[in-house]
Amino acid sequence: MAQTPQNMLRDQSFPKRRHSVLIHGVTCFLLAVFLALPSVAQQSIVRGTVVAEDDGEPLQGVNVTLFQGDQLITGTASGTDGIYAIADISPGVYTMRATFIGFETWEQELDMGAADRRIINIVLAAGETELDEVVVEGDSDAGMARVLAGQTTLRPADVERIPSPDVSGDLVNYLTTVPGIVSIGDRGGQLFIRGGEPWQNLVLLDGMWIYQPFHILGFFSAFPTDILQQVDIYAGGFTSQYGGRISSVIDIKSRNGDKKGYAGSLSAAPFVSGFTLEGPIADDYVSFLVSYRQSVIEQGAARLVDDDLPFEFDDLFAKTHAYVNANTQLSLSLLRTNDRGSVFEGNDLEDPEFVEWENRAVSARYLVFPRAFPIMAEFILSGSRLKSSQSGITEEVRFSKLSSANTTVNVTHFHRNSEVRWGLFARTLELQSSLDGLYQGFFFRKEYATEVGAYLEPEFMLPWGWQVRAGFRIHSFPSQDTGFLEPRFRAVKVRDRDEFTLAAGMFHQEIVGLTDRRDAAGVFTAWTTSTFDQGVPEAIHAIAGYRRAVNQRLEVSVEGWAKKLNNLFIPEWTAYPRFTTRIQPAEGRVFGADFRVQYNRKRFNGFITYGLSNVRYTAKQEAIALWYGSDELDFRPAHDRRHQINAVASLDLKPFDIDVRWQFGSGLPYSRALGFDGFMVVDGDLDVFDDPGNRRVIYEEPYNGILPTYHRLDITFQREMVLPGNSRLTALAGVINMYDRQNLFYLDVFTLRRVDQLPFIPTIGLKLEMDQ
Amino acid sequence: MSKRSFNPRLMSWVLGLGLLLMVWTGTGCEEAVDPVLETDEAFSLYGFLDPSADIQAIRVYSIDGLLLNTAAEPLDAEIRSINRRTGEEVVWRDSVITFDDRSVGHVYYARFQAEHETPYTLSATRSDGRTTTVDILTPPDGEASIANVFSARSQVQVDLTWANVPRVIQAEVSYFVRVPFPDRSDTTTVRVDIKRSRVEENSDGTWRVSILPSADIGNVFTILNIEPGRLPVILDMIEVRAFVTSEDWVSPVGSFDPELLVQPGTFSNVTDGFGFVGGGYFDRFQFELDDEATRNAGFSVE
Repeated sequence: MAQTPQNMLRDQSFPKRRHSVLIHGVTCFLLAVFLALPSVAQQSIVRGTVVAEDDGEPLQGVNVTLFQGDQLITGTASGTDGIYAIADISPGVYTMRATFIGFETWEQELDMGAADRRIINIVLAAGETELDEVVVEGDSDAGMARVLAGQTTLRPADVERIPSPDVSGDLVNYLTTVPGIVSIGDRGGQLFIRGGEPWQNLVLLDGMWIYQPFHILGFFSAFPTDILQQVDIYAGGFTSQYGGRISSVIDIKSRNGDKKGYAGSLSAAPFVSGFTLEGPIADDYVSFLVSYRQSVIEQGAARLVDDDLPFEFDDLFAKTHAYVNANTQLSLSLLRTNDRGSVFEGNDLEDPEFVEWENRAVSARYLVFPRAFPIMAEFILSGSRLKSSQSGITEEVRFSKLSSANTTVNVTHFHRNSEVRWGLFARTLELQSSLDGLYQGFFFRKEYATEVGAYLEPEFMLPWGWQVRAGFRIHSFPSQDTGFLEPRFRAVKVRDRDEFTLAAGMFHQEIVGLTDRRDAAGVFTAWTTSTFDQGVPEAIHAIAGYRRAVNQRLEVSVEGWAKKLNNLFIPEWTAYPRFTTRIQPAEGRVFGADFRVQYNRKRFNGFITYGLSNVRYTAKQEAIALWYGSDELDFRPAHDRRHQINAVASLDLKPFDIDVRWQFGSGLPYSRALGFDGFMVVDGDLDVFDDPGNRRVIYEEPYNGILPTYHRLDITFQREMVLPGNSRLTALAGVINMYDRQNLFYLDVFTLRRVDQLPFIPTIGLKLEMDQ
Repeated sequence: MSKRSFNPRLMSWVLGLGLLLMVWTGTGCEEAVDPVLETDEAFSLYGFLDPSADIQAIRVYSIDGLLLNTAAEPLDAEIRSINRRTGEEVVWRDSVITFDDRSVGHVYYARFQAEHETPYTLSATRSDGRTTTVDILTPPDGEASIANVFSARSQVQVDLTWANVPRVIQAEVSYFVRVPFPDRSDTTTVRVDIKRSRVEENSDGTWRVSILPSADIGNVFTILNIEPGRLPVILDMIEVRAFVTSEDWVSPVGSFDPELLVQPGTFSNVTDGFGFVGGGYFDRFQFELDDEATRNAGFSVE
């Protein structure tokens, strides 16, 4: 077929000979960027970091403005790491002002000359703020998570408001309130985001790739609120900075340890116990933070429910952060997680299955404002490893190991009302798996892959008030002879209280996860390169959203989204009752809408979300024509939850805080059976006295049944008590699954045995926090 | 904008009322789920009636609502066969077999010799009256002959023809060879089986089985663990066994790939049940190659 421009656009993967195109593209890209540097170097700019005086923690959302007299000239809001930059400043004398709720206003005279480049780090002291402050950007306070074209930005306080069995919150509990994120239940730790599968989600912590970050018990992840600074969840349409996944991105930034004094906490609850410790290594400059949690389910929760809860996990996070000098920061992060448990408890024919996985990740992040250029540069070196295995009592162990080393450079050029971001990245991976011959007949596989690429994403203003961030990401796997050009687009228009958002993009995923996804409860994932004839998995996202701040307290938003998924692979259907990773090609289409109403007052905070989703896959296994009489078969995959409702409320009834959450999910599809028999191949070799045959499931068409709906009410009460010596004790009491709904977690179709999710569980917890 | 202040008491009442409503509506409820729809089909049957054997046997699986290993206890099934030409009815007996993998299965058997080209009905009936049946037409006795022998150095092909049979679905060949003892004091006769040969239907409705002795000799040496050329392997006779079947014994995919045929109903002639029961037998034909063809194939002659 002739390679027309239309074909190029439709299939943006260009293997083999098109590598020269890729290399030329990257070269031109770099030339363009470096040629542009001298012109922007002539600007006047003031940049720096905003931190809190009491602990040295960076502050985001601080309004930094320049005034001449009473007239606002320009301004910005500090972002991640408390960084702000005001560019294209005309020579003159200004009053520079920084304001933030809960802090005293900071002011300083600023005498700017031509091509002047200043670095001013701002320290805000806690105090009262005038309410009529100038808001430069539509930033939100904690409790009003910001939703923008598939992107939700969270602060720890947002997460803390979701009832949890632990005194400290956990990110995963918030994630499951986001419409479009489907959790299979309270065990397994798998999240399906807007029709995507768990292996299609990218989870980053301080730039580290965390491949399986959610613990085996669904209330917990590797991210307790104690370590969080900010979380950006992109349910789709993510920016050019992110790649290698086709469904979603969860980008987590950890907080820094206290640079002023030592602090720590100890917590104990029926599910986990743990501690945090932080403090200065060098006052005001270098700090550390350590968080450790260990499950105590066997000693705690299992006794409360009088049932086996065969799950164990722990996580350790450690970080040091340093202000090396006025314009550079360095941080080192480390994460370690371990999970072990039994998700499938076995039946007459199959042994119980034990899954086990461990994450190890380290990163070094170096942030610099070069004095010569009006830019900010971020260098990240990180390494990640996931080891996972699945075994039965008598079966051999299947295992998978994925190791990667990542190098990323992100550069931001500041302009008066816009930014230009670009970056370079390189990643090398080692993938090993041993699948007992179940994946395309191989028993052991070891492979290496290297990815290199770049992205460019300018932000600019269009007429009619649209602020656009349009860019592209170009990346290649030389060892796989594949390369991809991925256009990305995001736009926002703010008009009074209304905000309109658009996002679109193309995404490819070369490194893929294989899992037995027949019932959505499969946990074990084997990682491999995409070596399938039909091409690399690809997704095209489109999102359109609208948000209205009805008043200062009430906000409503609606967002429609669609995804087209190409070159997918799904397990082959078989009537043999067995684990399978034999795959068949498939296509997918997903669309849906999210609705959100938030209400926020001083002592009451709540939101209701409703997610409507429709996921359909088209399977293309060769045998479909034989079995069903058509070449393809449309079906709803096992994670297609059509309707999802979450209602969350937090009430400050001094001295107690009450957090309530009710969640509802419509039933998930599953394959119903007509019965069970046996199967033998009848040819001339058949000897019925000698051949044992195989057991068989007589299925109707795949995924033609719907499991029961899921709903649950969780409620917690918390009281914080101030103790002598700068200590605080927080006591938690609550109930998980308050009305004891018997929600189905796993239905063993073969034996009719149902495994329900957690029943009514009372929970209590204590957390002791100490500050120096 | 309203100036009314927040009333925590009112809010807690509203919240409490909502909670009570949820508790009342949802307490302890469980939605039943019935993943097995059940079916009127009673049994799955596998096997074939063999006119060349004096014992007939089939494997019987009951269709259950649970996936459990078959228990070593009697099956609720009565199996009968009727010769629809003579009306002769035979009740089959159950035997519980424990296989090498320790699984258990029910094999029903009957002592009678099925007749060629005869219609039979096999029925399996449960105590509740549900019955699975299958009609079988046994194939006629075939007539085999050598159609052609091609012989050149290192290239020997023998084509055999089976006439007056509905279908031949596979064929096997056995080489009867004499191999000397290592000290060459004497020889021993060994039968070497080669599992598959090429089967094709001729345009006149007969079936051609092609064997390639010159190609099979490599397998013969391998199976006998003899290095070619070191010891003489004398070919005495060749036996070809063609599996002759009834007309309906046709795989929808051409081959008997279990991954494809495992889907229930894909390859079945059973009514009110699943599986396949055909009529078939191995028809044997023995012949000797002449000395030249034997040498060309790589064997030794006496």
